[in-house]
Amino acid sequence: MSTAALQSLVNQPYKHGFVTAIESDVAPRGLSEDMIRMISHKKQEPDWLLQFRLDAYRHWLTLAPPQWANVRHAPIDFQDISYYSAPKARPKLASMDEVDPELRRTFERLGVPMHEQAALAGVAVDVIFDSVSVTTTYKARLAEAGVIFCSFSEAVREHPELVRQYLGTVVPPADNFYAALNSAVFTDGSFCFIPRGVRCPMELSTYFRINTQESGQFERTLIVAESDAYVSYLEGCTAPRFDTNQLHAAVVELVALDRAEIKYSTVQNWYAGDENGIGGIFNFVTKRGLCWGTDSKISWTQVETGSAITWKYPSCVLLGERSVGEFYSVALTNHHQQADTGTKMIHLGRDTRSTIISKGISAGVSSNTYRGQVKVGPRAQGARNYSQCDSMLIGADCSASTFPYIDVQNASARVEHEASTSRIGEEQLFYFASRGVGAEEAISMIINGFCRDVFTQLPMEFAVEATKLLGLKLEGSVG
Amino acid sequence: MTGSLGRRRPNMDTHLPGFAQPLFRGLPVIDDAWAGVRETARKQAFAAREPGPREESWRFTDLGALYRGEFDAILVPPAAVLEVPELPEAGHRLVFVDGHLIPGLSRPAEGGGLEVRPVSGADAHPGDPIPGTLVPASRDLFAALNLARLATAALVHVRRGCAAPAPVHLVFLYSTAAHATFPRVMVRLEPGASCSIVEEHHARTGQAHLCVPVTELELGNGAQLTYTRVLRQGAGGFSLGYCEAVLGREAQLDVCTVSADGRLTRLDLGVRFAGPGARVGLDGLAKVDGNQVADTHSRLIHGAPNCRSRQLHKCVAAGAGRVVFNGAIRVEHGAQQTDAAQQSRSLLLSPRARVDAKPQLEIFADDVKCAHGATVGQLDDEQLFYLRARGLAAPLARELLTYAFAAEVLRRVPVASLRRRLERELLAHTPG
Amino acid sequence: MSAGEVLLEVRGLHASVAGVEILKGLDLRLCAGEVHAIMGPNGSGKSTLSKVLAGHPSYTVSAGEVAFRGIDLLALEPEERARQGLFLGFQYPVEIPGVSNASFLRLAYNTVQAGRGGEELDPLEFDDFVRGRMQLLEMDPGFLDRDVNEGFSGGEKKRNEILQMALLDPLVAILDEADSGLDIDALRIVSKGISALRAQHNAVLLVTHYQRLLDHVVPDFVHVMSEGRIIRTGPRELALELESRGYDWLTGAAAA
Repeated sequence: MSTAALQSLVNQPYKHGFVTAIESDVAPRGLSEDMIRMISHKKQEPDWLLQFRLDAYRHWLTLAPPQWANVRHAPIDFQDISYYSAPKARPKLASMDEVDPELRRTFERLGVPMHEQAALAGVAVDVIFDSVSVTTTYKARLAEAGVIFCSFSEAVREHPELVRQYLGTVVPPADNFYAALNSAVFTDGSFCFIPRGVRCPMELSTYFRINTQESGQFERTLIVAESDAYVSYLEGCTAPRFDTNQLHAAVVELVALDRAEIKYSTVQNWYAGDENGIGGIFNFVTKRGLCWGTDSKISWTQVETGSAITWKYPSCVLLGERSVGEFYSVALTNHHQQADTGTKMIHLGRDTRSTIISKGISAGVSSNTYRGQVKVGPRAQGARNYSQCDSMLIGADCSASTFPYIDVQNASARVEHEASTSRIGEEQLFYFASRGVGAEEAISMIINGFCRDVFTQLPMEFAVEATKLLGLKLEGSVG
Repeated sequence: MTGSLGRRRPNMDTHLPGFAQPLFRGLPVIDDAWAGVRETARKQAFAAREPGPREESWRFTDLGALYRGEFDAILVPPAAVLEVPELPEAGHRLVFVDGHLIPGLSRPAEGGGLEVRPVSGADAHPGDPIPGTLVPASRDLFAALNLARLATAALVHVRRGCAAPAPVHLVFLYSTAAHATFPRVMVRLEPGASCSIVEEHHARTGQAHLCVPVTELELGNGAQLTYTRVLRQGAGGFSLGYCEAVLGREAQLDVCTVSADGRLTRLDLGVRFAGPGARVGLDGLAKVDGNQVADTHSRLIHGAPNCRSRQLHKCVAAGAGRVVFNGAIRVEHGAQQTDAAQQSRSLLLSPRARVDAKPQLEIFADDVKCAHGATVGQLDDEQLFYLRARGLAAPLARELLTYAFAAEVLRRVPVASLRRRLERELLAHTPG
Repeated sequence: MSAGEVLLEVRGLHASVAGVEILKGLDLRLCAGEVHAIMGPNGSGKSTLSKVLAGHPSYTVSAGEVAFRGIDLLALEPEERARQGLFLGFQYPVEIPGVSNASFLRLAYNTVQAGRGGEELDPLEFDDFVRGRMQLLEMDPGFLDRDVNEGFSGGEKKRNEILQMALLDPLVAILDEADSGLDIDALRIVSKGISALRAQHNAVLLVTHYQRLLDHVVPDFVHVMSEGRIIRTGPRELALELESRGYDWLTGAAAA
């Protein structure tokens, strides 16, 4: 089979590229203090939060976009973006049935159920459409267990003390250019609070959808697991097909107290642009978890298949003694996609452990970079890290890079990093063919085998979705 | 014309960092074949930024102590008689002290298939390599300084199809405090030629001094070179070295670098595969103690298909020593069938020792086999227990394991007497 | 040392690793001239006993005592135990790249010799000595030039352990799963080596999961270990009974 035929296998049409015809309330383009005041006012926020936003904005004005990532794009005109867009709907929803039917059809088409009776068993969903949360399912059942799961705006109204206590503690507004921007203009997102000793009775899930062409999406997610609490959280994302680039600059903060565990899984399938690199989402995200308590654990699992550009390093700050950080990632890039993704494991506490498993698949003329940092501070006696970063290249015009930074300041640390590359070549496909296995199936098997260590980390519902998603990417006709 | 101003003196530009300013004071301007190279480099040096922690490639190399110093150039060779490290296997050798060739200690070869001789702008042959071809002055301040202060270089030239019968020994000794030296080695192996070169740098002073050695290696098609570089810069030495190699089709290069002590030693090692089917082996050992820093930056560019590279870099850090390893492998578009493997292993022997490792893979071709691995750790507890269970006292067991760690690289030193000398000097304990 | 002299006496030994207690009051006595076998299901603490006796730093002794020829063994560093004549044949011999087997064996030999006031050998003398012992174990002299256990097959590693035992001539040899992973030829060679070293002045403790080694090296006593204690001691026939009936009838009885 020729390389061209191989290429065609990994090229699949984007199935979530439709636009929902829904009346939206879109703010004029441009960013200013007035715009921030408007957003804050629209959301009826307390003063301290407005102040938080303004401080972040003023700091942002002093920053320049980061240049170090292995990605290339035209400069972004931050005055040409709308920072607020919400579907025009009845101001308050009494029940699910009051959700705009058009909106409901949108999410049904995306496979996200908004009716509890139709929902995936055991998954509570918060649905974010452009800048606002439209619904959250299973709230009552979660409340019985003491779990708070709601949109960020609602959390600001209903649980301001919790939001105020934790907001910005893991990702300070001044952390980086895009985190500062997010802190200034974030519109909605999810908030989860799992109180002491509670094992969250179901998977929590947020589904993000960008619909408006001129709007950016700046969501903010905050998850706090108190001592001995456990939660598994899933996140999915899609966007319509536009020939312009939309900016998505989210911030996710996780806090795990003593013996708490947070499992955070993402299947990212934002619109990636067309085969000529036109359009697609700029996915510039700051995700960080703080293992604050002893024996706490934060585990990031991501399957990144979308976006024109991904710039994202879900990280763990391992402060508590014996705390554990994990990062499992599959990043697939095709056509002109660029991904510069990885993680940081910052070992500060004694006997902290971290594991990094990263699988990058590049096809087309895409560029796929793993960038990671393992840092062992002077007081992190007995810290351990194991990293494995494998790349697979499909076709001769793509690229794969691996940039691990290892910084060890404590002699009792053990850090191991391994990386390798492989390819799907004609010989492998011929071998499969000689055993009666077609190329499409063979590629799917090879890629699924390549990603197995990551897929097994995903919750069941997502594992199925991720496998399907990669399968879709590989769908095509064999010449 | 009244009162000739004579030749224009190099302009004392304030942009040049303080430590380097004395280097051009009273420097005679010589009009020879290399005058143009020197002048261009001088301008580059004056225009170059002072490398600092803001730049990614200097992020871990603290040059503060160097910048606070002042270094003079030695214009006349020192009179002191110094002990030269002997290499019984070696045939021809050149010995330099503080940058000056010492003819009485040297055994050059001129003409025939093998030339080992000093070369300067005044006596360069038309076919000799041009200084700066592989490490140009535009690279950075230190590379520019080396060319700007270009004097006598060591040249090894092996003609087509010829084989040097014995290792060539290039010895650079440093005897004077607060001086700066800019040694230069230029090697050209014509197609099918082969040679083994041992380049040694030894400080005979524990005082602060600066050394910027540059080695340029050109390997023609099918040429074979074994290049061993030993650096013993003493307690006060700053060494900022560059070694750049380019390989023709089916050439083979084996590099072994060993560095121990030195206040700050850095080696920027670059290899470029310019023709298909070539092979490179890079082995390195860096050992630090006290407050020493050893920094190895390597960059291997697979620019042609079917080439193979193997790299093993080991670091041993004791005291408050710090080791840095930054090793990049780049596989360029079209360099199919590349087979590249890199291993970096660091051993921390003291709680205050520190390691920064940054292996990098950049791959722009799909039919390749590339792997890298990096580990940072201590002596293995199970190995220690095994040795103690056989009666070895704990300190001896630790020494033996440290020895074993370094031995993997030292064993690859291709000249037996040098291998034994390094084992003796670098490793306190030698069993057997 | 004469036959019958008590070489090793373990009384009420409790030991733990990573906070988990594995040995829970173990008693054992080895006399000169005897071969003992300790058998037991996986996880019964057999390997822990071996490591605790050899002084592995990961294990903590919380109670009990161990006398080695009347000396408090637990007060000694691992290397001092080795010099006193205690030998542990490892279940998983450790690979030490960078150290040649010849250097290592001579270093260990001379260290242990010096410890007991014996004569040390220079490289040439040692070479003759070690080659003699290697013949006994049908080992290729090429072993000497390789690094300690590096790239050795399972069988080669076990033979290397027995070679070390032959060189160091211990008073008490504890062989942890000396037969695991061996094919039938390697088992024969290892068994031959152990039998050849069996003498009136020393004692051997075979720690094993299967009795097949005991077909070749016939023990005087068989102990059954379960949950960190010895629950049954019997003659060699006990091993055969265990082979046919398994451990459940004993461990079940112990639980009752």
